Amino acid sequence: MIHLYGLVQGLDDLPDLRGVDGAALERRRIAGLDVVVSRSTRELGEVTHDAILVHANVVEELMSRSRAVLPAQFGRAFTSEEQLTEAVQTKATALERGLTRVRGCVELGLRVLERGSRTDESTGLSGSDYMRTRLAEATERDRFSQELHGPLAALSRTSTRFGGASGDLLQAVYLVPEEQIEAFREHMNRIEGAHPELTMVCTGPWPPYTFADDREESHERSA
Amino acid sequence: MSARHEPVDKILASGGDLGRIASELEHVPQAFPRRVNADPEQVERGLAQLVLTLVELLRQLMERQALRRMELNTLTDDEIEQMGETFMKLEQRMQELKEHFDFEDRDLNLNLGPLGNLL
Repeated sequence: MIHLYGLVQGLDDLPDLRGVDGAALERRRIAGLDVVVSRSTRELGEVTHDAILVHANVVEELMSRSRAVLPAQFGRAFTSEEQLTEAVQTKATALERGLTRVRGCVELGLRVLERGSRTDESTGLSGSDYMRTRLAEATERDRFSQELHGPLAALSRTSTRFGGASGDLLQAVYLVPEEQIEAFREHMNRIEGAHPELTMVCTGPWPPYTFADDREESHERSA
Repeated sequence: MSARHEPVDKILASGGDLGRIASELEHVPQAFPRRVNADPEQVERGLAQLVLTLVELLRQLMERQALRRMELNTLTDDEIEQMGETFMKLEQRMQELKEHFDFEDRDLNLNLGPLGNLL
């Protein structure tokens, strides 16, 4: 089984780390792209926290040593060299585009919880009042969410919002050029200062897992 | 950037009651495929959890669709009144059932992929 960690650009040396199942990291050049893998004699192993962390550590170390990394999600495995080669060759153009998209950027994640303003007490309301209250809450939530998201998206090369179905006020990931990370952090601090009532957490820098797929059209492009 | 970060190294900024977010981490194992507990003592509760999760999903989808139609002015006043009463009753009934089976909101959560979590 061949375990794929990602595609890299500008990687001088492989990191001094063992891969999943303690296997040595190896590098392949396929269709002009550098691919980092490890080989295991086992079938696809059990999904454990340790195995996921090993994968994540390898990808993070690749990110720190390369100009660009297109990370593979954990569990992307191939049964043979031929299968790996075919998979990369088939998507070579899209993968190259992906490397260009993420070059010099990291992924930052943001989650902002609702302020708890939802009116839970509906006893005594008419049906119309209930609907109007819900609509007003949803409209205000969308407006405020966009107010938070807009400036952060402007600091990013591209971004993706999640959470349309959840009670979170905003759940998003941003592909941020490294030189903009400090500005992003400062803006987060300003939001925190201006809205102490909000519960929020911004995490990163992460390898650009969310932006590795060739779904550029689905991301919101900014800077 | 180097590998093997401590979790705190990955918090770029934070504020508010982080306990609200941290408490969800206790439920991370639920991210793996949900299964009904086949223990005879637990099977009723497991099935109720599954059914109520689906009902809650449908309730929220229908309510959001109704709000969207309200925004677009494609509902009459009578329809808004009728839908509002229905959603209110459904919400109240769901609350009663959650209390009956001793569920919290997070017990009925679902990861909907790109749409985020249900609750």
